Amino acid sequence: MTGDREPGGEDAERSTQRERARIARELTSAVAGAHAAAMPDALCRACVTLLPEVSGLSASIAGRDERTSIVLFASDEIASLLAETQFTLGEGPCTEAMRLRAPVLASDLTRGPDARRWPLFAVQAAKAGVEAAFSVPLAGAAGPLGTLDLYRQTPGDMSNGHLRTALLVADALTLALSALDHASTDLAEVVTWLQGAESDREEIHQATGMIMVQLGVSAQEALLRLRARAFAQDQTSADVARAIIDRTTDLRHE
Amino acid sequence: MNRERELAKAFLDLADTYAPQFDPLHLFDRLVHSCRQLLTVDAAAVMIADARGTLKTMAATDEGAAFVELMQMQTGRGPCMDCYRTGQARAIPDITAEHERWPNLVTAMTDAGYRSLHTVPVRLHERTLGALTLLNTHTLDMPRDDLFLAQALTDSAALSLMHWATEPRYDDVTTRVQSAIAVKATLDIAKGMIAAYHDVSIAQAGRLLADHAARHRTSLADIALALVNRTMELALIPAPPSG
Repeated sequence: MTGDREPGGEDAERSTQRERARIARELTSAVAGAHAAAMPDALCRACVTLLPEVSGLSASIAGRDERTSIVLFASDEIASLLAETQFTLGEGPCTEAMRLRAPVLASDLTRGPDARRWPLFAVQAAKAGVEAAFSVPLAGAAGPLGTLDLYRQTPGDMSNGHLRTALLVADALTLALSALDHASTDLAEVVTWLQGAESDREEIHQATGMIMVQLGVSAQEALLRLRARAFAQDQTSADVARAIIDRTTDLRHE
Repeated sequence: MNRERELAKAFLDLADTYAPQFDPLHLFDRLVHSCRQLLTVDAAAVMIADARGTLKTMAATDEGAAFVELMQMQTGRGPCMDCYRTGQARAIPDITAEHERWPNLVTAMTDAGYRSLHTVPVRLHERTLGALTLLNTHTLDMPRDDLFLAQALTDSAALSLMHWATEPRYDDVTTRVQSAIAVKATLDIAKGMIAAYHDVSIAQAGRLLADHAARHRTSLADIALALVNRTMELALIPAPPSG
């Protein structure tokens, strides 16, 4: 029953937090000192370092329209091509990951059911030498901002450990992109927020909703404000969230 | 309604994936309330494992702050996590006997008014997805028939979660589960929005949303997403009656 497919160590929360911190450190060191224009490549390199078991990867951001997406970065030509192919065909793991707001894992594109599921995409992938593709949504608080797409030249499942890392990398990437969006020129802010990255407990989601109404901001903005307050007070986001829910803290004041 | 009819209705409700208000939130909510109604339990909650590593509470019959705290402290470790990891049901007829192993849990449980805890795994054939927790205010050795029924209801819910037509793939379960977790996160944001808008507690906000979904026969997940994306006005969720 248990074994490689079961995630979680002694205390799963702490174990996941350690992994988040490790990922944040990697992204932070990649981003610190980079110019805004070089940011996507810096993030790309960090993701490649963090996900060594894939052959290549790319990240795409969804446009306003469901059909328009842009490739933010790609580790190689194949990753870039795969992403573009899915936008063109409107079919593939990444379009589904966006729609379902969940990771979509195609461990063997060379035969059914994966090949049957995405017939056009599977053919194009095969031509590029890709036999497995995994797409993880960049899960913004209110819906996916885009996807992190991984591919392999050999078929095979993604292990639970790798899936966990991929999800946490996607979380951190989402945070970095939200912060970049918000920070515009002050990249030191991005580093700050990345370092404060932590768990996604239900209290944090609930507090995010409250802040959205109290400050009249988007979900992304609300979450950033919550994290900023946590950083300023040297507390965890969960602590600040609980205080907001209890009404002992109100971001409208001070 | 007699016992047999209650049982039949409970299983039918869990299987009715065609109902307009069907979504994973509704499903888990039905599961915990069926357990509360059909078994000798004072509270029930279901936690599902996020692929990131921790357990997430998907539904609970008790919305009190102490109970929420009790569940939230088990996202990383505790009897629910043990049940999930091993895929085996666990029985703790008297929590006070566990004070060496889980001192914080003992305090949280007794503070919330509960004394015994039983968990059964949420499973889909060979794979464990999470744990269902049953609590009582007094010490209790839950009868085997009750545990069997709890497991049967839970298994039905897991099957409905998949609601699959064609060729199920192992990875589709991951997708479905993570999708449900994403939907629950949206619901939590929507609860926060309503709580701030109407100046009520998170629990009350949850009830307002659920009532609205039931009245309009729509899925709670759809409403939550619409509120969070601002395609639905908060004012459309009426305030609780004053007084």
